[in-house]
Amino acid sequence: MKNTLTILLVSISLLSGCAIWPSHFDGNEQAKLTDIIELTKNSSICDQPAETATLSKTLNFTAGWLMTYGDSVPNNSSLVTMYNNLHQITDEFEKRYSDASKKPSEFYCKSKISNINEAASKILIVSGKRMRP
Amino acid sequence: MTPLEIYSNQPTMLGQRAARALQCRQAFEQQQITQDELNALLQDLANLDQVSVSAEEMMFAEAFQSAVLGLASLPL
Repeated sequence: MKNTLTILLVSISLLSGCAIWPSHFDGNEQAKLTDIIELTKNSSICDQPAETATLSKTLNFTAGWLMTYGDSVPNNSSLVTMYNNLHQITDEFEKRYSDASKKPSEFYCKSKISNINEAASKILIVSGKRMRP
Repeated sequence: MTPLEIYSNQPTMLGQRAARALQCRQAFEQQQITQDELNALLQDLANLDQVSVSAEEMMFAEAFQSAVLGLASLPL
């Protein structure tokens, strides 16, 4: 019975290219996600465009870091997809604030910060539930 | 009840997303945001949906892995 299960496990892994096995818990990714969540807990910064522009750069840099780092971790495709979605949100945020001729609205700024917080929080939950090596 | 109130009271992810989309639409109609900003925020909602789907898939895979490994470790 045990041998059958072992063969079954190996077969599933080989047939699926190990894609069904999530990668192990990674403290580096967890730390960066926590940084993003902490930075986006409060949207009162939207009153200060210069500070918001700096924040948007930091958030986009960190989301980019997660994409690059996550991509280098084996069997991490699910998280990389999520990092890509997060990066699309932060990238648009940074681009809008980098254009000095535009003054983004307060509703946009607060919504954007809330969206980034929500995306990072969801990713943090699944990332934290990964098996410890 | 307004459409926003109806969707806001939905406990499902779809209902909450619809409420957020309606809020954005209302903000645009009240000229609180530009068309460009509205488009960006709606795109964010699509990205958030994709994050939710991927998160559910990953949590299922994690649960499946735990179940199979638990089964394999039984003293048979």
